[in-house]
This record gives sequence, structure tokens and C-alpha cells, in this order.
Amino acid sequence: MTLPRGVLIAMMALLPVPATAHAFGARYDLPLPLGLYLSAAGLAVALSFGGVLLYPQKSSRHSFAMDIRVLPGLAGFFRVLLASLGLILFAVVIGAAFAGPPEATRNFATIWIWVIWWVGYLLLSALVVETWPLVDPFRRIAVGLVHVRRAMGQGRDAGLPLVFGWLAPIGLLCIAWLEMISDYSEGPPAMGILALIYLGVAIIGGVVFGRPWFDIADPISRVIGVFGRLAPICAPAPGVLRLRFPGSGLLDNRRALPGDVALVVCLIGVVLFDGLSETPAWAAVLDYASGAGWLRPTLLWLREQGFDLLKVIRGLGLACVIGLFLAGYWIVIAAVAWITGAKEPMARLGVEFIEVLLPIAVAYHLAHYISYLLIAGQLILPAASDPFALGWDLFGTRGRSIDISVIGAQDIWWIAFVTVIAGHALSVFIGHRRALQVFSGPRTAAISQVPLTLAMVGLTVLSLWILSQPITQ
Amino acid sequence: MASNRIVTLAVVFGSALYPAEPLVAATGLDPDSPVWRVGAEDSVEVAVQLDLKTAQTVQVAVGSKVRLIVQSPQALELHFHAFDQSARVSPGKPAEFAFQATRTGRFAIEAHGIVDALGRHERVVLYVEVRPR
Repeated sequence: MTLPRGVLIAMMALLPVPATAHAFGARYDLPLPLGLYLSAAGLAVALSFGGVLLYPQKSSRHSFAMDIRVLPGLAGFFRVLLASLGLILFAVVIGAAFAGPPEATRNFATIWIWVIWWVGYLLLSALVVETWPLVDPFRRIAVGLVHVRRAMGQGRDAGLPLVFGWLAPIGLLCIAWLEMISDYSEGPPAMGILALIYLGVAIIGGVVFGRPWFDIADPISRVIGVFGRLAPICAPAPGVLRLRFPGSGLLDNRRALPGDVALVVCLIGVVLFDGLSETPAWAAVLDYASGAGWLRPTLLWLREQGFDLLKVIRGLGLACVIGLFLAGYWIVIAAVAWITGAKEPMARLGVEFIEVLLPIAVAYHLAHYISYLLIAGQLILPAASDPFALGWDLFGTRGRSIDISVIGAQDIWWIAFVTVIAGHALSVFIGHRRALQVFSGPRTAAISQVPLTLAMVGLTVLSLWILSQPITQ
Repeated sequence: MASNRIVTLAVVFGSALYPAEPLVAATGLDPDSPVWRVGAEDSVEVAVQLDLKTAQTVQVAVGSKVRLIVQSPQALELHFHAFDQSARVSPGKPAEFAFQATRTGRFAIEAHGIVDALGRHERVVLYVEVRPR
């Protein structure tokens, strides 16, 4: 093979199309058939009734967890290994961003960031184990500089005001805008610059405020932390590996931070908009906007000001979905407060129960992205063999072409069915356990779950509906 | 007392779900939407007249050898990315796509050259769904 024809085919097959949400091409999933959709929805409702009826009398002390002691040497070895991997990959990503091929589908940096890391690694953090505090290159570099500063005898960390916690949802919205609306995500040099800017902010935050910066203000750390609470494996203390029931991390007592509710609402809203923007309903909205006579002057004016109309409308769409979800959530919380006789203030209830909806959102996220991960994820193989466009072939995969048939439509249907049902069941279960933690009496706890379970059914049915819609670009 | 509240809540939420039901029924699962369903033969030939207002869907069974003939009221450049093919079509000259439907999925045929008020210069004009047998 002279020119890697395979990569050329891959490029053409997954050419960046400006109108789509991702540079890595369209998804080819078939819509979930009506039968699977209805039976999944029915099963979700049935499980919810089962959950409500089977409420345990008191918060069980049995916590379904198993701790494994890890040899200190082994634990230390893994810490060093993970930190090194994080730093090496970061260096390769930055190098590939500036030196690699300019096409997003061939550049290691863009493929790594948007496919492998932002989708794959985040799902891994939710489904298996969260490793980000160990792998995070921003944290490692910032903390390294803090040690240097300390060694030079300079000052202590300033206390970080908790209000900085709001940087997390703001940062998440910026990343979501970058991924779904902006074109910068398709430009490797732009991504390189943004990664370096993020590093700069992390260094300043880490050097001035110390480790708390990453626990409170750093958007990526907090987002991955949220996902990590669902994982069945965690490391509660150095040298201890805990195997726990999935999602039980959501039940841990932890300090409430500013922006907690906004963070999870934005996460779920972004995931929902991602799916909704590929439905015929959204295409109808765009067609209406394109054809409406009364909108034309506004659209022309915006175009003259230099705005990209499609980006404006998508941005509005994302804001609306997040806004509607937030409003809907507070209505549900108001119902919970009312139905339990207002024993707890609404603000507290809002914070306590928002994470209970996460298993459904993560399940839908997995179902939505599994084919993307398995298909667009293959692009990393040719890109990794020659990240800096120097003619290398490190892994022998330089000419590798993408195999779109790696997963079939029916496999995706069954994965979607099983994960969404499992996510729903987990949410109902966690919701119950959470209610027992929040409310004093088991009866109040069970009654409080009625509006929340209805909300869970709504979210699950919405997820299934999106999956059953034919993908419309 | 609490059970009265549960009943009220159920009624309120239940009636809120009512408008959702026709919405669910109307979208995507409507049997009258413009879909061409071709039988599960091994070799099929489909001729489609493009309606540039809505993208129709052609459904074929996986494993078929498909010959798709596309007619258009307007001169367009069509791209069938998933099968790495492109063709030109104009009012007198239909475009032809021949492919083996080896994998299931919903694949778009896009037209380059139509610009709409939102500045989009590509539009999907036809979907090909390869369905499991």
C-alpha cells in the first residue's frame, strides 16, 4: 500500500460535516423498534412499582461493599504508573495537536480528546473505576509545581472560597459548547491551545489554592468525580480497593458544594440535547426556523453581524433543554416537599436527590454512544501509529481502515434495552436508599419517592423515545 | 392524609402525561411516513424520486445487493459517505448507487449545493436503512 487507502476511505466515510454534532461523522444506528421501546417502558414502570412497594423498613447497615487491602508497594507502583501514563498521553496529545495531520479524523489529539477520553474514559469512570485523580495531568503538573514552591520555602495555600465551585458547571457548559456547537473541536491546533490554556488555569489555581482547587473548582475533576460515584470499584483510602454495589457511591456522605445541582442538571441536559438534536423533531424545528417568514429579518441581521445561525439555534436548543430539565426537576422536588409535609427544606431536597437520576442518564449515554465508541474509536489506531505526521508506523496500524460492521444494529438495540432498564432499576433503588438517609421515618421516605419515581419513569421513557427516533441530520 | 396527597399527585402527573401521548405516536413510528419498504430479496432495484422538502427512507434487508436509482428535480451532487460513493444527478439524468448491504444501519445520502436560510449547504435527501432480516 503506497498511500494508506484505508485511511482515505475512513476519512471519506467519516468526513466532518459542519451541520452534525460531532466531527467524527454520523452515527448509523437504526431506531429502536416499537416493540422494544414499549416493553422497555413497561418494564421500567413495573420495576418502579416494585421498588415503591418493597421499601425496606430501615436503612440497612449491610452496605454491599468489600474492601481489599493492596500492598503499599503495589499501590505506589500503580500511582506512579497512572500518573506517568497521564503525563505521557498529555504530551503526545499536545504534540499531535500542533504537529499532526490537520484533519480531525486523522489527528491523534482530536480523536483522543473527543472519542477516547471525553466519551470512553468518562463512561469507564462511571462503569468500572474512577482513576482521574491519579491520571489527571493538569493536577500532576500543578501539584508538582506546588511542591517546588514549598521546597523553595514560599507561603501556604490561600483558602479557596467555596463559591469557586460554580466554575465546575460553567466549565462543563464550555466543554459541551465546544463539543456540540463550536467548530474548534474539529481543529487540532485549536484544541492544543485550549488544552494549554486549561493547564495554565489549573496551574494558577493549584499553586494559589493547593489541592482543594481540584476538589472544588476544576470542572473536569468534578465532572469525572460525579461519574466516579457510580462506579463499582473505588479507592476510599490509600492502599484500599473497594468493590461496591454500582451507584452506592451516590449514597456516601460528602460535603455539598456550590454548583452540585447545576453540574448534574447540565450533565443530564447535555446528554439529552445530544440525542434530541438528532431526532426528526429537532430537524423540524430547524426547517421551521429556516422557512418562517417572521424570523427571516432576525436571521438575516444575525448573519450580517457574523453569527453562524446554526450555532445560535443549537446553543438556544441546548439552553432550552437544560432550562426545561432544571424547571422540571424543581417541580418534582416541590412535589416531594409537599407530599412529605415539608419536613425538609426544598433546597436541601434538591441537592440530596439530583444525583439519583444519574444512572438513567449514564445508561442512555452508553446506549447512545456505544456504536460511536466502537466505530469512530477505531480511528485512534491509524492515528496512534503516526501521531506527529513524521511517517512513523509505531504499531503497524498506519494503513488500518475502519470496520463499520464491528457492531450491528440489533446488538445496539439489546445493549440499549438492557442498559436503560438497568439504569432505571438502579435509580429507583438508589432513590429509596437516599430517601431513607434524608427522611427520619421509613413511611415518609417511601412516600417521598412517588414524585421522584415518576420523574425517573419520565426520564427513562424520554431516553427510550430518543433511541427509537430515526437519526436525522 | 398522605394517601390523599399521593392520589392528587398521581392525577396531576398523570394528566400531564396525556399531551405527551399523541406526541409520542406522531413521531418516527408513524406508518404513513414516506418510507419505501423493499422485500427481503437477495437483489433489489429501487427507483426513488427525490422530494427536496422531506428526506424519504428506503428500507432494504441486510445482505441484499442493492441498485438504487435516484431521480431529482434539481441538479445536485450526491454523497453516500457510508459506502464511499458519490454521483451527480440532474432532472434528465438519474444517479445510480450500487452496493452490497452488508451491514445494518441507517445511512444518509447527502446533497451538496442546496443552501438554506440557516446557511447549511448540505442536506440529507435520502436515507437508506439496512434492516436485519
